[in-house]
Amino acid sequence: MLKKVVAVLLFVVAPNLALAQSDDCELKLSGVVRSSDSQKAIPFATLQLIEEKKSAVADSQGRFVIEQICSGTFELLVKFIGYKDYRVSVVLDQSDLDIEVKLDPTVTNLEAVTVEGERIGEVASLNTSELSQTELEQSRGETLGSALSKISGVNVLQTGPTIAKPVVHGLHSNRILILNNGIRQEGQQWGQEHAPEIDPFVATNLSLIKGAAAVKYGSDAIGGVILVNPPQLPKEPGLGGQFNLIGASNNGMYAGSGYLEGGVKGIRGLGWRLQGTYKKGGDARAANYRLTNTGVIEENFSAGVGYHKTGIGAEIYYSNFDSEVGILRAAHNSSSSDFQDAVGRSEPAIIEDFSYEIGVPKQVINHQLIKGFFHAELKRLGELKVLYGYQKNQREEFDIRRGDLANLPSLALTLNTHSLDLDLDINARGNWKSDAGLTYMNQVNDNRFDLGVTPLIPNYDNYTFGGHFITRFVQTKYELEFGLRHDFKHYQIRKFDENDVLIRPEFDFNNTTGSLGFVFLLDEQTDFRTNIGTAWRAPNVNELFSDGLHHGAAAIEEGNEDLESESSIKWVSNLEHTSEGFSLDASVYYNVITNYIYLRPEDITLTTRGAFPIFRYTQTDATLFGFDLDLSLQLSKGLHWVNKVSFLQARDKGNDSALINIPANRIRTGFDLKLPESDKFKDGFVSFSALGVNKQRNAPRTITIQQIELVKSLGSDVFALNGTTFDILDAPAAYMVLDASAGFKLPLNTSTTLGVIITVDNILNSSYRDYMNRFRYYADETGRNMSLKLNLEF
Amino acid sequence: MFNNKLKYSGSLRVKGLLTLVLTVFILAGCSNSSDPEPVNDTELITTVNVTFTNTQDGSDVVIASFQDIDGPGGNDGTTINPTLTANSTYRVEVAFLNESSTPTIDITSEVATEADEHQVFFEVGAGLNFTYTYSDQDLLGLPIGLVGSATTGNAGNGSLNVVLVHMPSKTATGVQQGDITNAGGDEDVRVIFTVTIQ
Repeated sequence: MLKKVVAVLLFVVAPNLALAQSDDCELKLSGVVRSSDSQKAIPFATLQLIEEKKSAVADSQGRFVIEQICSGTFELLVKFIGYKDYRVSVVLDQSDLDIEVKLDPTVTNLEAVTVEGERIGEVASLNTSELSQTELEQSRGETLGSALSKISGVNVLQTGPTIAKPVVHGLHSNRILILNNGIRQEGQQWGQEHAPEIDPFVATNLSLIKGAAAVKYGSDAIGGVILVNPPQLPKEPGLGGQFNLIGASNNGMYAGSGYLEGGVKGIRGLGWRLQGTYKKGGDARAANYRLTNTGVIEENFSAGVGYHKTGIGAEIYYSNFDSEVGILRAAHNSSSSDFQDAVGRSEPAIIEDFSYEIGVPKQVINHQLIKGFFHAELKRLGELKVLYGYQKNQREEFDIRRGDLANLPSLALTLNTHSLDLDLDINARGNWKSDAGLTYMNQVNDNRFDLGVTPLIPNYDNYTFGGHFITRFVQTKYELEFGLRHDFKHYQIRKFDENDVLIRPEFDFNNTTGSLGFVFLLDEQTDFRTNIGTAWRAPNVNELFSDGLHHGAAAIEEGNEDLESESSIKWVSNLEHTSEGFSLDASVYYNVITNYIYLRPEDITLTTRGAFPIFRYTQTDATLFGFDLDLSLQLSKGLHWVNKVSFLQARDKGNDSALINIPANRIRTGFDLKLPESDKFKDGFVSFSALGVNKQRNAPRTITIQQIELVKSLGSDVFALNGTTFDILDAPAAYMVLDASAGFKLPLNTSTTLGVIITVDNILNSSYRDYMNRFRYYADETGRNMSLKLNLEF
Repeated sequence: MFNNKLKYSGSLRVKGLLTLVLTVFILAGCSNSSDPEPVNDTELITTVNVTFTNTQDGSDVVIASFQDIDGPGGNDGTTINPTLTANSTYRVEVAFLNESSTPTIDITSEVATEADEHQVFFEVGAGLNFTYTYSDQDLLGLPIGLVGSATTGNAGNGSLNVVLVHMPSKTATGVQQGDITNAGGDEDVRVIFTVTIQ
């Protein structure tokens, strides 16, 4: 449906037959650039007359003039961020020409930005990488994290096969920001085993802003910002939709997801969509054994209705995410001796037959979102956008418990978040294009106290106020961008101190951030972006106050009330080039984080369950340096050689040691063959690739649990001389896996298309462990998985 | 440039917007979390007491104990090691307590109630002449280990690990005889005593 709406590319309207002129290169090409969708003028688009080597930039009203052109036929290239490049052949024959250029919003990328305007004025000097349509289709049925990891620069931090968190340039959890449908995703994202509560089927666009875009989005965007966007609501009457059916061999997973959407006859601009997903998977299988209790059930739905017309519009959206996730049974250990037995085993102690049943330990999560969005054109000022979000996140974690307690979770948290964003996309003045905004967020976290377990994190509420201003100086060949932001965050904690006295400590954090960037349009195929930006985050409540044994990590983690804000300066540069048969996207970054919060081993304590190390949240300085490289070469017609490389070097400068859980360097190389198209067979492809992941050679030192026990029994203070962090097992070896996929689309009739994709992951059924899987201590990664993905679009 | 823009009065629109923004602010509000309620850590075991009573000499009562009142983290637990008489027979009783809450929670009775899901193991280190036999049984006739008997041999010393396993496979090889090797399950307690026999 959408494709049809945006299929209209250009109208060359009113070829204005002006006065006849003699051909001495005095011809003039003028016109206006508009968005094909909203019909709004697009200011500052760049126009190039290729053969004439002439270029121009549209003014703030979208008007442009190119003068002194000789008569002839020329190729005109029109470019603007957030829109597809547009090329058209222009015939100038003895008369001036006045044309209207309609640019098509980048469907898979910035549609929300440019059309609904939710994020106009996004940081232009930061590169945005996105998942292509094919990659998105191939990743249907996978976790959001695993889909995102197809973008270079994104890795996943896994807790078994079903829990995956995105890691951006080595940072995750509270150090990255996920914008779901324009709203900051607020769950219990501090937890390493807490995956984002988003139905990946909702998104038709997954993209990553690689820099510290904090100036636009506020705190936490130290590593980067991930955008998860659904398609736009339809504006034309008619019914459309999509249905997906997916089956996977490894864990017997089956999933169905679909949506219906339509416009309302007689009311142009009014559109709606209903969407739902059901997914059920059983125990996954490593190459040689079952990963017992790694099943998953997800039931999600969403509904949206919106009315948009030129100059004004409103939208309301609701989504409900329900999931139940099993956690590998063998990864739950109670005593230090249990840990000794479990860690580093070649296969887990508990292996049972395949089952869909989800036992303890498990997580039960519900996340609801209500979003209200309103935008209006204000005369002479610009476009005002009001975005309101309410999120209710409920998380229950079930452990192995005694007797009647077995049915009670050992952790139950409810987090309510209200957020309000006001954004003014200011009308262009001269060559300046600006954006200003205010943000407010209120958050309340409540525990259940009838569970017989002291809560891991306390009750708290917090509010945040922020304001930003970003301005851009736009020229034909380059853009300069500058942004400034200030935020204030307040926490009130409610807890019992060690003497069981109720305390209500309060914390205030004030931070100013800035960003400076350039975009250079080197030629029509190449642009270079560079940006230096600061970002910050306040210590999270778990870092301030957590206290207890971590059942997954054989460690006791203690909060620290004296933590200060963590702040970062990230410099990121990106070169992008696309030409016939060759495309390159290279990013280099250097991120310096001061007051980087990490877990420092302080002591070993003797408990009724044996000796455990005590880690305390402490601050140090850290640097992360790396590059991502995407390189695609056309070998012959339809055949591409596709490469993705990620390199990252992270260092704890304060202690001169390694940081833990930093992705190892990796390369993916493969071949994509596009099959010949016909009316009955479209988008056919076969692809084959190999992923090679190096051993993390820059991992922290290893101190085994046996050594911890031994040191404790000898009474020596192991951390007095060296307080750098450690791991309980060496980083796993380097590995390589082979993947393949193939697919095609069959147009069934004029409006219906059937898509078929078959993927095989880990073709050789290799057994290996990945450093970024928190269950690397206990079990191998999943073995071979074949899946079939059917898609019906109507 | 936009003709339809003229249809709206700028100031009216601003007023409308302001009203909307205000409404949203009120909705978003500034709500607070509630004060916490006291929690009894019902499963926490702070204390393990092993009482040895000499079957021939009622006055020979030795208590071995491990106590970590503040639970995991904080201060180290403290151990009181037992000294037993050589070549004697002792009745051995194990008690598990949570002394961090008031009143003290007796976890032993919970273990007894779910006897089929629990078993206490006594791992004897090298150099210690100590043999343990179960005296109690769950409903299926399988050992529990809250009550047992131990015979000491000649003088010597060595380690004695007292381990409470939740959900052991009691029918696995050797488990009924007190060998933990094939027991599986989760270790809810593992404390180490140094026993002296003299």
